[in-house]
Amino acid sequence: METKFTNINVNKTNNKEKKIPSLSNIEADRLRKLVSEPYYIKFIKTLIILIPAAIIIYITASHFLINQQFNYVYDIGSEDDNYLSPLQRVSDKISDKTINYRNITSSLVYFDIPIAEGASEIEIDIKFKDNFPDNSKLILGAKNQENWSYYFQTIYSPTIEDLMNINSYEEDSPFILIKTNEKAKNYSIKEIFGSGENIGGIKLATDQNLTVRKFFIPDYTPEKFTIDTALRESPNFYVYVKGDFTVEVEKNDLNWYENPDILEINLYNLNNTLIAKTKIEDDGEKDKEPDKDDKTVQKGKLEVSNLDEGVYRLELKNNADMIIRKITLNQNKIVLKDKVFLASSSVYFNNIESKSKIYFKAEDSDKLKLITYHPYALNQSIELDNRNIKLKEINKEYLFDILYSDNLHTLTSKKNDVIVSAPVLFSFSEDSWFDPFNAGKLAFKDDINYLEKNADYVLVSYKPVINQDENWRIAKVRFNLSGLYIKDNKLNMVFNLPHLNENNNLTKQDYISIDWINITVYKPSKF
Amino acid sequence: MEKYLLKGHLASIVNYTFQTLLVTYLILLLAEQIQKGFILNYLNLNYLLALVILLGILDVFSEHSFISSTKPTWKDYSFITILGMAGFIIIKFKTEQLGWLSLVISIIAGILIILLSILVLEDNENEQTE
Repeated sequence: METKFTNINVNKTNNKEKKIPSLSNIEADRLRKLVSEPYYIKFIKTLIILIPAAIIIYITASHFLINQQFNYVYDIGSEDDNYLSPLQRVSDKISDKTINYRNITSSLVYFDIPIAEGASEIEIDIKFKDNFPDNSKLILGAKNQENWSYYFQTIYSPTIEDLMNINSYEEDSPFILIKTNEKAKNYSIKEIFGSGENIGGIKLATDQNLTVRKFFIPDYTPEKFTIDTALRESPNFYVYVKGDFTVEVEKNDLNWYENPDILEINLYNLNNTLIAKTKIEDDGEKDKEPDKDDKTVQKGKLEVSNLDEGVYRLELKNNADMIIRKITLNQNKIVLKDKVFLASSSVYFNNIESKSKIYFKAEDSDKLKLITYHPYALNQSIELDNRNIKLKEINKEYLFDILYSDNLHTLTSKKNDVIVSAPVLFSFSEDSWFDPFNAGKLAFKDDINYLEKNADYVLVSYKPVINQDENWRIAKVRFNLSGLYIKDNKLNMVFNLPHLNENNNLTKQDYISIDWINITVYKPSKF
Repeated sequence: MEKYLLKGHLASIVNYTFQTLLVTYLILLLAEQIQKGFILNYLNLNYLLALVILLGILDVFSEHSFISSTKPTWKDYSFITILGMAGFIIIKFKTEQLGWLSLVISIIAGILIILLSILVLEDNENEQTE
């Protein structure tokens, strides 16, 4: 609305229009000066205008130019506490001298965090009481989809904490690398993430999505290799293959039992996927009587081309009513896992008896078992390195102590017909021995015994808790907000405690106490 | 009121400050309504509100300018139209989830804003003319 000086009608008379004398220019100027504002008033009003301008500049700068941190403290159990839901999964407020808290009594408990527009990260500190049973953990999830879906992070794991207490470890936030096998080759977190192809010879238990090089023999050149030690039952070999793979098997049916004697030659990868198979049929002599002079062999051949270089499982599956006389491969790294039935014995066929030698390495001190089922095999001395043991009874287990050694042990049997078993890998020559399991990735499990037994390293995304006092711990975790589902400027979080779910906590005896949750929301400047 | 506590230039300053801060507060409040957290994450509007209320009380007891105004011009009507359209857009944005009803509500609100503003504008003009 325009405002300007007009003829000032000071005297209000009647409604009749009167002729108002106009002012001269000089009089008008004087009047204008009388009623207009002095300069200092105008100056003050200009300053007042600067107030909203300053507010707008401040808001703009806060949004775009200044890094911001917003801090929220949820004092669980306090008067204002209304943070956790649903209430039926949370106890009443508990006061204990200077601390007030609540107990979480069930698996999934939720709370919301206000998220400022443009925020990039949140850091959450949680104070809780450590009354976790073994193999349990505290997981915190951030919603990442509109439907029920959360991105979970473990914020407290007694398993990992115990592993850190008893093993050496490296911390490079957000990762922890724990060396569970002191004899394993040394690696750092940077090496494992930086050059996975060069990481070899370790078993890594991890929850991370990274590639760990599976077993690999550098500069391996395949050569023809023959196992002419007679074997019985269904041996499971592990073969290192490069290029095409060929295996030829010869068998000799015992015909001790009625069923057809078919031998299946199956090749699997380490995921137990069948790659190729073939079979060797029965010798066709249905009513044939056992003939120890029968030298007729049935042959079968399996050929597979274009295999990826690596380890495969070769299974020679049969009903044990036959002797595997010879195995010929075009690869020269092959081992038998856990058990070998030496069958170069006159118990089965005449003229096949010969001294057998097998080789193995012991990762740990353990026991090697020997057993025979036939009297013919008794009174033989089985030699293990420079020790020997005599088999005196059938169906009885004889034990050898085996000690850890970097070198291969040698076991020799002259009469054979003995089952040799131990948690080791057996080979039929020194050069053909290898360990296909000394490398690769294992899934991380909250089981300290499993990890210590099977893994050389444990790599997890984890932040060690801070021990505040005897019972209370403070766990810290960060979430990147990219990819998370934020609605109405709120992010939904969930405590996940698997050991408190309905099936595991029927008596509601277990619970987790939470004292406070401290949240910091980071908002970076746009520039 | 015949007797004013504040007169002259001081009253003018109080009045001016009150109007400025009131408009500022309302704009900031509107921004906060459109985008939650846009203002409140950085500024507590309650402090500004307290100041506005205080100034409002003082303004009630202040002398007001008797300078007259002229007829509304096309600029005034244009401004009112723009305000009406802004109101339409804001209400449409905030009620989007109502579907077609949102459009109806927004149009009615926009027209209402324009009509009421014209009413106030022309009412002021009539008062001044009297």
